[in-house]
Amino acid sequence: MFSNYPAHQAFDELVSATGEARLGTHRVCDLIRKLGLAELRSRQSAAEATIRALGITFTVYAEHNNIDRDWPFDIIPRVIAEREWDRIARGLEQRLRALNAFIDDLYNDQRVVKAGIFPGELLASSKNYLAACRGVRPKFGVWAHICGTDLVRDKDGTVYVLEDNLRIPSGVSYMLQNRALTKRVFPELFADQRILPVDGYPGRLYALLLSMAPDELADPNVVLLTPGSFNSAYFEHCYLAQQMGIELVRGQDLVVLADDCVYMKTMGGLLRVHVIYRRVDDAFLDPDVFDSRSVLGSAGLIRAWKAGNVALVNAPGAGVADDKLVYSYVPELIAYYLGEQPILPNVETFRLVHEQPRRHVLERLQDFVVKPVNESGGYGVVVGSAASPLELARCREAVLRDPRNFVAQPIVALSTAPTLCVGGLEPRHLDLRPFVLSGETSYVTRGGLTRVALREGSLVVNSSQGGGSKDTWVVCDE
Amino acid sequence: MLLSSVAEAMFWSGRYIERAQALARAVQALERLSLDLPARHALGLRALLPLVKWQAQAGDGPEASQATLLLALAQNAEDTSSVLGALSAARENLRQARVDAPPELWAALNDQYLLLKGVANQPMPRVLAALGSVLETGSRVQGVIESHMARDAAYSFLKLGVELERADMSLRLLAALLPVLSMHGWERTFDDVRWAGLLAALGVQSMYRRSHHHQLELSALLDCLLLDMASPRSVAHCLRLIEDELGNLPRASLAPARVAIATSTACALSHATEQEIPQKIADLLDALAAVHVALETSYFHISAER
Repeated sequence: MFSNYPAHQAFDELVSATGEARLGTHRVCDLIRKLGLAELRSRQSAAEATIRALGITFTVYAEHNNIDRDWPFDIIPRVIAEREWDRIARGLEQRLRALNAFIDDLYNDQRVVKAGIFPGELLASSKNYLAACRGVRPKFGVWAHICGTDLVRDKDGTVYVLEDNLRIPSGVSYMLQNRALTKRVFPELFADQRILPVDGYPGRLYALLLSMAPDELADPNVVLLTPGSFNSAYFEHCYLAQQMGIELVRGQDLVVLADDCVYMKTMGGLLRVHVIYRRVDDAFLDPDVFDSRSVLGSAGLIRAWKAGNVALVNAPGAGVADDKLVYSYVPELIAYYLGEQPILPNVETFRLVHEQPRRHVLERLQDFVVKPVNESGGYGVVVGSAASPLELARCREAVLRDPRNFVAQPIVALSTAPTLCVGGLEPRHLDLRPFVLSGETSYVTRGGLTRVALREGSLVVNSSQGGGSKDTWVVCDE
Repeated sequence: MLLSSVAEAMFWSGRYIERAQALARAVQALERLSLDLPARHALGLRALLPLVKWQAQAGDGPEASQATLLLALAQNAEDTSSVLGALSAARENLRQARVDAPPELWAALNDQYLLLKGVANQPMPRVLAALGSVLETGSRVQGVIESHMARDAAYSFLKLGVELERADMSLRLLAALLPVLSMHGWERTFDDVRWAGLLAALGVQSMYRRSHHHQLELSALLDCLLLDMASPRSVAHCLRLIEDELGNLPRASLAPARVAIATSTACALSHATEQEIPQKIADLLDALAAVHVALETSYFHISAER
């Protein structure tokens, strides 16, 4: 089945350029060959029927009222050897430790600015730096408790960090669902090899949330705050709340009283809330402090948080480090705060706020990916090689109008994996989003959410823009 | 402690789940009945129109086709009184309360919705077949509620919704079908067939036969529908279960007193003369609405005061 598979076009995760199965992938490749295309298609259909029946959905805002788009899933897993994963996991933990130290520093002493490591003017122009959070010291010094870091592998096989999602990263529930689906699709593979489980995540997340409660309470009330059923990740909010056995609340369910404590409105009356896993953006959290038109949060929430009466996870203001310009400084931040060398490299990043790199990039725009520094979900990203002349011209104009708002990276030839397409098994580009939890201790998921660009040649993996997903297996080395 | 917004969503899920089931059953029964009766005696689906938001289109007139009527009764997604609209509303409410419902309940309700949505613009036989599947899956929904849900406040509110809607729908169906029960003369030749169909539409066929055998008496039907404690569809039985569930909830509420009033109103209806029945049905529907309002006031609209 892999005889005509073009594994040489990029680094393929399952098959080497010479057509051999890579380390840890022999059993998957053997089974794919044995089953044949017709059986694979039949298993793919079964998986899709399950997704539909269980209502595993997501929302694409461009589709307005369609809040029920089935989760796109490809049954062929992506496989990573445990030995390689251990190194990646260490790198992710290291990165988040440094980023949390950086955020805590920015909102307090700003030593990093005084030391000339991070330019004060970039901080002054940061859209995600919230003055309202100055002077706050969250428990354990942690601001970004949950991080989704996007990793890509280049043609030479090196794994790079593409970006850090520190605000309200999503996708972990789909990682868990993908595993549940794959167990149904390929039970034979789970029976005869050691695939590291991912199921422990909700338990770890719950333990983290409990640990953030103020006052060392024995039985704190933990809730998940969702913007509601029209949010793109509402399925995930429900799923995680259900898995953790906590209440899923909306802004209207909460109230902050004069005692600066947060309460939820229950059928038995008001009940104190101690920890809020919030999936609402900073801007909408508290109409008293941020966007006054917001009905997604609750008036007084920031007041209660600053008084130490409620923990907000992630902390407001953590997004200051979720700026692609900050990303470019992470290697220096690791060295400054931890005194270590980065385990995982960054993709080379050009800061378009500076004139020289800006000129360099604008002269060769077709060779770069240009990204707005504060967007997520792939919105606003221009891939030079795939953009039309008009799109390139608009991109150039946007950069010149507001250079602080953009960075550029050389186009990484993202790795591929065999994906079930109309024409059979074809290579499709992918990335990986592992999730890191940080509190008193830290935890990294085994693998993460593999996102795959379903269109041939496309490098855009975001589910909101036609991307799909795969299960990610970390397997014990054969 | 259950969020008041989730309590309300659970309650409405229960109401819509039961509404869809009751109307689907009635549509199926009346459609089957039309096959058993000569054309001029067939009831047709028109009898059920008072239960939905029916707006006659130009040209429909009294002769609206069965297919048009079926569309209004079963497939109007915009009308929460039609089967599809009720399933859609049940699903949206359960989406708000998904954390407190077992995943199996969501999956079963999702199946019901997708089954019926999947036959949009399809010929009538396919829609009727889908309605049959919706009814079967509805039994799965009920089974999941009973076998998979913790007996907590979320369950209580779901059950309160189901039981209140069941009583309400029994009365609305009775009101809609009353004219058929009052036929005279030659038309009574088909009484046996008609009664069998009506009992099936009301979902009390076997319960009625066990207690009243082949009596074709309105008073017997009223007794079965209103007071028979052995029948899970009787209003008295629904009210008893509502009373039980209210006993599991915190906070003082006006709801138990409203239930007591509804129970005595049901007794009055069971003894009504044929002429009094429509007014007494309206009285009982009002009494049930008062139970609903009491629940809203006590549990769904929580003040921000401590």
